[in-house]
Amino acid sequence: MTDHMIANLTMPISPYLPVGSILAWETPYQTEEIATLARNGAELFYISMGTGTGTRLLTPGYGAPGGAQVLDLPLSTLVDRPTLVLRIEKGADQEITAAEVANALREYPGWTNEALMLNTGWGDGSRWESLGEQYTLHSPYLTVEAADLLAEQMSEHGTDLLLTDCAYLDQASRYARNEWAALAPWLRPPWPSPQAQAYVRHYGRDKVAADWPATLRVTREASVVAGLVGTQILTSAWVRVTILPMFIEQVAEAPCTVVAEMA
Amino acid sequence: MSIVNLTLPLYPFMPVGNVWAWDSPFQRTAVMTPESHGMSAHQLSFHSETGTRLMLGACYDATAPRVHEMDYRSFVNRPTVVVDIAKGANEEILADDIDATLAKDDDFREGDAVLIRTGWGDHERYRMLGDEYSYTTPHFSVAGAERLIEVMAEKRSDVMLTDCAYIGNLGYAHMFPEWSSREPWDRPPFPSQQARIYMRHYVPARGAGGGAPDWASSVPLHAAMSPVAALANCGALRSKRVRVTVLPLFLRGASGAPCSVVATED
Repeated sequence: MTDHMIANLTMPISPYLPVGSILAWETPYQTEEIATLARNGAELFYISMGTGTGTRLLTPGYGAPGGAQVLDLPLSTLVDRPTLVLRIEKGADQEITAAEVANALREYPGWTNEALMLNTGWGDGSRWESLGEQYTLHSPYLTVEAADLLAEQMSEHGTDLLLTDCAYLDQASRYARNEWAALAPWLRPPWPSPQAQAYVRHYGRDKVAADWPATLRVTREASVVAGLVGTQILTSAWVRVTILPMFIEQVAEAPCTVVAEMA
Repeated sequence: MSIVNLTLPLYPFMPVGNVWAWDSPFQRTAVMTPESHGMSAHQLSFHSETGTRLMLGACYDATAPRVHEMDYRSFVNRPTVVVDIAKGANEEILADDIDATLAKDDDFREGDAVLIRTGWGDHERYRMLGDEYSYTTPHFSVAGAERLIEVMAEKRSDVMLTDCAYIGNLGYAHMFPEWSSREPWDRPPFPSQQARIYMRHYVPARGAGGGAPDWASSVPLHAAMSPVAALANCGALRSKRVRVTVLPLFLRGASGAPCSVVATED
């Protein structure tokens, strides 16, 4: 057992977890008993979920045909990765601006190759549990300019990984949030309902580009881990992070488990 | 330093999680793709013992810690000794095998995790064999499991990893002859009606519950340690000692879960 402190920064996955169960293409995490201790003397269960559930890894293939998929990433990107932790406090519906990113980075002029972790405090405590769907709908998010600056700075410093406790990098307020997520839950039955399939059929590339500019900008060259929780425990600006995703073939998004090791 | 991925890749109908009556095959359905929408989303279905997986005592014991309650210091960069016990199809790991290897291994240190490498998970055998990969895997005899528990306890070792696809006795008395030996189209997987009916009848008196005669070595191994089964690609490890990180899909309340495993060779 390591003597170092290990912080688990992963959102525990439970039925209808808000991150991954609200948007039309998201399949909520649900389980069904297959074997039980009472009847079968052992416990096993069936799982249905989407790749966007909870804490998750997005790779450059997320928005780009031919981009790197989960299994294409070098393990050195994900394992024992030195990481610079930035704190930009944000509350519900607040945007992270380019100026705030620039200020935060200015404090650490020497960083190079490290992953960047951008913490807002949104994932602290158990807000993800107490707020329910509001946790997703009101998460802080990046402005397009902030995403541009982050992507440029990461490229300049040789960094290929961004982690954040924002539930999503974008607010998706133009279409997906207003047309679908704003409906009462019983009016937007989740994927694969006929309603969700109809919405996704009408949610074309133009709407995607308008709703998800920050996500698509950052994942063009780097990978992103979104939906971290409990990052308030990180008291140092420098930690080592390990991210192990589900190693699913032919996907560019996968649920992952994230731990940070502090000396 | 090199990092080796020891995780079985997840792909539709992969064999580990596709043969027993409680299995529900891993399935992946594209909802959106970069080509169709400019972004990606997939729907997944599988079950709690799919592929490389972390198994906990909670599978058989309601009072044991669950996935979200584990101390992850035990699973991050854990010093691990690699032990070679070469085995082929249907072969058992015996008490003599443990005595001839781990019990007298000078590289086995106090508090280590133990990685038992049979060779079964090498060279993508799972793709070549399909379902047969699962129901002919090497596994532990009861005496082999008991001896392993003794030897690991002496060194306060509580995590065992192996490239055996399953660690128990492969349902020899009931589940293999009654279910897994049938043609795949004759055993439609959970949530089929057939699988539900089989599981209603698969009670401890007929081999369920991890004990004899179907899974005799499974219960003691779960009770004594956290087994991580169905590793792949262990042949890529060149060192006798490595650091292993095992992180499960972080399912609240789960008695076990698919996991990803990497080993670092310094």
